[in-house]
Amino acid sequence: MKSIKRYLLATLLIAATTVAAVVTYGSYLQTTKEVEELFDAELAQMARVLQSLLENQLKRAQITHLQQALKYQPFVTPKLYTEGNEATPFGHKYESKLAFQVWNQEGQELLGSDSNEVTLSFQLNTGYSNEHIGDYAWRTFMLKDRDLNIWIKVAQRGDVRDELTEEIVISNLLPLGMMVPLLGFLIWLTVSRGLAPLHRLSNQITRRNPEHLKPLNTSDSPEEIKPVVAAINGLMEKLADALERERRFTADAAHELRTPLAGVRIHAQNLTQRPDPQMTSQAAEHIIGGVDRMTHAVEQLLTLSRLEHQSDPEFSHQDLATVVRQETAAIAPLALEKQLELSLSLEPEDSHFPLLANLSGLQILCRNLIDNAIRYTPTGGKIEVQLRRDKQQVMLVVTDTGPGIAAADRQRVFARFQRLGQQLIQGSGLGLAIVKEIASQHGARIILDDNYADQTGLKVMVMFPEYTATAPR
Amino acid sequence: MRLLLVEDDPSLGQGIVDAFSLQGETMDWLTDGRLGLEALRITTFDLVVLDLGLPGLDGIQLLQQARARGIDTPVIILTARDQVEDRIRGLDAGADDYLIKPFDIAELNARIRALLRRRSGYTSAIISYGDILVDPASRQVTLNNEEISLNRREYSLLLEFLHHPGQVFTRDQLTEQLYGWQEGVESNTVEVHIHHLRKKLGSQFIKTIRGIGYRIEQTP
Repeated sequence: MKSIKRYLLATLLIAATTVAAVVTYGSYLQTTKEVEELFDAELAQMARVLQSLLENQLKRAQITHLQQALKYQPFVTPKLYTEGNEATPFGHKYESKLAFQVWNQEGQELLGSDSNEVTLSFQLNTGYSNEHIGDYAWRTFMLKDRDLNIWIKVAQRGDVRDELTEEIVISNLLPLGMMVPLLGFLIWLTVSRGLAPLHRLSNQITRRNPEHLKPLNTSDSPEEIKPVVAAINGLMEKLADALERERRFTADAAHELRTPLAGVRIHAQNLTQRPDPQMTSQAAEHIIGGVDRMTHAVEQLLTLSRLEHQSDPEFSHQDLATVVRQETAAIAPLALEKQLELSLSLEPEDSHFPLLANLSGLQILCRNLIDNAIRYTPTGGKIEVQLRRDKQQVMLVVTDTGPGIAAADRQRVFARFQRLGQQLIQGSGLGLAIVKEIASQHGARIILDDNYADQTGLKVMVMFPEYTATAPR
Repeated sequence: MRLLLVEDDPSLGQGIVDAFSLQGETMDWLTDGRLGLEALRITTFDLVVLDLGLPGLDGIQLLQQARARGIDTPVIILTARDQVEDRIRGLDAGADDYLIKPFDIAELNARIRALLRRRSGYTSAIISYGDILVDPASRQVTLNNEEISLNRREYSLLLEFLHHPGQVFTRDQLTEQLYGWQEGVESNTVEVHIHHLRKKLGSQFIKTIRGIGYRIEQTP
């Protein structure tokens, strides 16, 4: 169905024409029947009129007189007849298509219409029958007069009837034929008007683009289109959201990379201006710091991008204790540099914490959590990494004595590039987004809480489902 | 000339301040948007270099609120966002110019000069006042086609007067223009610089308004 309009136009027209044809055929059959009956009755009537005429005549006069009298001249001047005006004051066009004959008991012809020199057959059975005489089919009626002992046969040419039936049917067909184009026009008009809301909708949609995704107006849509419009609006809303997220991500990523780049550039430029020795060493430090920062940002961006596009990470049997121990050891120098107290404790001691996990994901998660704690904890603070088991869950808890996160902000920090306005602490703002992504890959939950044991601080809990030999992942 | 930098990134901020100090310009630096707006309200700056992503108050909001309060100090925006709509947003909020990070310090300088020139009504890059010609791009000063050598404080002071001919500056205003919020500035340093300027450019060049301050004539 390429076009609803054409489809409706075609099907409705075909349906209407079919109905009209059926009705016409029905009326043809009916007309034929009625015409037959009418003519048959007329034939019988003619035979009886003839009979009563003959009855009187045969009693009084010679049959020859009658024959003479009956030799009438049929009215044949075809030019007088015009279509629709077959009946003239002089006779009727169809007169020659009527015939009669009268026989005595022996089959000797007594009387006959002379028109067209039609010779009717003589059979000894009364009533109606169909005959072929010459080129034509005739309808005949035979009547027997028992008193006079004569047979009277009246005949009519079949094509008269057919012609009449035909004309009746044709005169019925004509208005039907005129109806079809009129109907077509009306259907076209209605369908066009009915489909107008679709056109308006498509015009509205045409005006939308990624920069302009306002919801479509539903107020003038008919009921049938409303669900479509609602679905499109829903889709556009999601699209706008996704585009907005992407836009913000790009802008944030640009900021995260361009700001340290600008810093590096300007410090390098300052170095070319022959500053004093103190400024020179400071500028060099800023350049190194800026490059480190960009390196970190690029690494985090790549990690996040890989995580988000990883369709099927490889899972294997891992001991969380081993991974956490390795990562804590690797990052410990950073903590020592900042004079932070970093500790790792297992509960119960020396036990294993089996997980079905993606090894590199687990490593990145641990590293990011501890790294965050180190970044945000001021010098002299304390960071505790704990592992414990709780109701078929393996819990990784990282507690620090940093500023903590207000309860209202705890959902927000998992978004990419969220940094709660602490620009002085250098970070990419992607750490928790990465942690969240990995946790969700492992079916783990993350809970942020206050560090109640100390004055201030954050407690991050990651709860992994424990791996047992029987439990499916 | 008094410049304000509002930039929350410590490394980039330090770099810009260092760059201007190497050119002999004083630049005050704030890292918080709210403080930036406060500073604009209480101090007159010649120009503000504004970062957009600021804690406390976003750069755009700072700009809008400053403009709403009638502060018309020229503003150059520093932004990492290079999309046209971001730039339009910045300019619509009342910025006079923008620079995309990373940028060349010479370009920032040129844009600052262009804005200041426009602000003081000079159409040409060269500032002329009587027989004095100043080329801000090369910092060259000539009197009757002879090059005059000025130190960077004297140059800043000269430019300050040339940018506002006819205006009377108090000693405190000039001190602030020259040294910003720097502490421990000797109380008579401005007099010393003016003395040197008069010696180099003619004794009648800068007039003293007794008990009030200094000015140069509206027209030479």
